[in-house]
This record gives sequence, C-alpha cells and structure tokens, in this order.
Amino acid sequence: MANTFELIASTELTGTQANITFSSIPNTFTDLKILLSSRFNNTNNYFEVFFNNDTSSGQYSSKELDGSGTAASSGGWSTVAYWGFSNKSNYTANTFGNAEIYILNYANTTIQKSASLDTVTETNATAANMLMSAGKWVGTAAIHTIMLRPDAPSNWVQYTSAYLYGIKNS
Amino acid sequence: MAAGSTYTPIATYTLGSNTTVTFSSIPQTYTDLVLVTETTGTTNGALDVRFNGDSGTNYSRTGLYGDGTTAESFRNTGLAYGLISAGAGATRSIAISHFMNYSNSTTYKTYLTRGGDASSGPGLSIYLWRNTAAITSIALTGDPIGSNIGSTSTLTLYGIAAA
Repeated sequence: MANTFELIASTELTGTQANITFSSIPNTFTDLKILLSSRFNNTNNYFEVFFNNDTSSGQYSSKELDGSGTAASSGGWSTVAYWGFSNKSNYTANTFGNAEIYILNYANTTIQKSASLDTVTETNATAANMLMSAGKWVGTAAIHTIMLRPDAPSNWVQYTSAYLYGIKNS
Repeated sequence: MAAGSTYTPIATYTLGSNTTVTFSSIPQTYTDLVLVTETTGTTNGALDVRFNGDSGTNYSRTGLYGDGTTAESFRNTGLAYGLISAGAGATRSIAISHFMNYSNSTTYKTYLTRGGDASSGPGLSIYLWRNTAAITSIALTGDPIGSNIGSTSTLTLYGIAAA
C-alpha cells in the first residue's frame, strides 16, 4: 500500500536556536503537516511561519481565534506572519506548547498558499491559551523551504521538536 | 506515526469547472474519515454537506468563529445539511473535517470541521447527524444548497484505520 502520510524530516533541538528550517522539501506530496512542540527563552507570544525564505513585510496575512480560558477574542495580521503561539520563558517550567500546521497544495505553482494552524499553550497555571489561525502567503511558487521563527528576541529552547510530514492524495 | 496504511486516499477531485461533488460507495473498512478541501467560488463561503442523501432536518451544530475583530460562538438545530468552511467568490479557503466512527450502524454520527481563510477568519464546529446508518456517501455543494463549487477547488477524502 502506498505510503500517503510520510515523515519528511524532523528535529529536536539540543540547545537554544533562532530558527527551525525545513529545506529541500520534495514536491511529491499533496499537502504538508508540521507538528511542533515548543518553548521560547523569552516572553514573546508568537512565532512566524515563512515559506521559501520570503520574510518580506506584507507577504503574509492571517486571522486568528483565541481562547484564554476566560475570554475569546479574534484578531488579524497583514504585515507579519504571526501564525502561532508557543510556551514561553515565564510559563510553568518544563511545559511546551503544541502546534499543528497544515499547508494545502504546497507544490502548486499557480495559487497563493493557504494554511491552517492550531496551537495550545497549556501550563497547569493561570496562563494558557489556544489559538486557531487561517493564514495566507501571497507567493505562488511551490514551497520548498519552511522556516519557523520566534518573534524577537525569543529563540527556541532545547527539546523543542518539529516534525514535517507529507500527505499524498493518491 | 505509522506508515500511510492508516491514512489512505479514498477519492480526490480537482474541479475543472464549477460543479458539485459526491463521494459515493465509501468503503466501510476504516475507522474515521478525513476530508481535506481547498475551495473557491461559492456564493456564501460554505459547502453544504449531506450524508447518504438525507435532506431531512437532522443536522445540528455548535461552533466557534473569529472574523479578525470579534469572536463568537453559535448553535443551530434542525438543519437540513451540515456545513464546511469554503471560499466565497475568488477567495480560496481551506478546511479539514474529521468524520468519526462513520461506519458504525448504532450511533448518531458526528464530525468536527475547522477551516477558514485569511480574509474571513478561522472557525471550528462540531456537527451531529441524527441518523445511525453507516455513512456511505458524502454529497457536497456550494451554499446555498445545490449551488456550485468553483473550478480549481480540490477535495480529498482519506480513510483512517484504527489498526
């Protein structure tokens, strides 16, 4: 039987690191899924998701739905790729946030790329959030590189892990 | 993650023209189904979903939605179809929908759908279909019911096996 849900690459950090990058992504799948377990070494909320090293302002947009445990809210971004939350340095020690990023039709060369992202930052304390994002990159090129970058000055900490899967529709 | 034997494509459509889609003769050999859609060209930004051709008022939902300014929760009962987020007009929208225990023949069926786009915002809903029959077909049209889904839309149904 065809392997239609295949691990492409993974990483678990052995120390503090600025970015997590998946490069040379094969264009042989239909969709991509990233599973991320993460924590920052500073107190920023967001991480950004960049495709094909395009970090230019205005190339990404998103809208999000947030829940804090006491209230729900919604917001949006049009100049930055703030698509996900992570646990951060002032959260309960040894807790890591979870994120799932799903990117459809990433190898298509004519459409702008869309993605959904779900994150949670449960801490068994007062600070906890869930966030859903719908994001878009205006680029139409096939995605060959994905970079996950914390908002400055945060970096990813040791034991942050990311797994990239490819999903085939045939 | 186990190999792809538990995430098997059942059928896929890339629409060459504005049309509707039906996944029929769905095999009963999986535990759950996952429908992944990237759609455009609908009138109201949604797909209407019917199982096994059931047009009765047997569908209900509870959902969360954020439009970039306001977050809201909603609930509807007695619907004649379920809904999945879709692209309105030229907007492309994505959705991932999980249909749990679809081949069970003793319980009502539920599905969880999440999706949206960077224009209209994300949403998450749980639906109940008040019917105990195993799901053998899933019919999708644009909203309002019966209207077309736009060309270049992609829809793929996967089967997820528990073992």
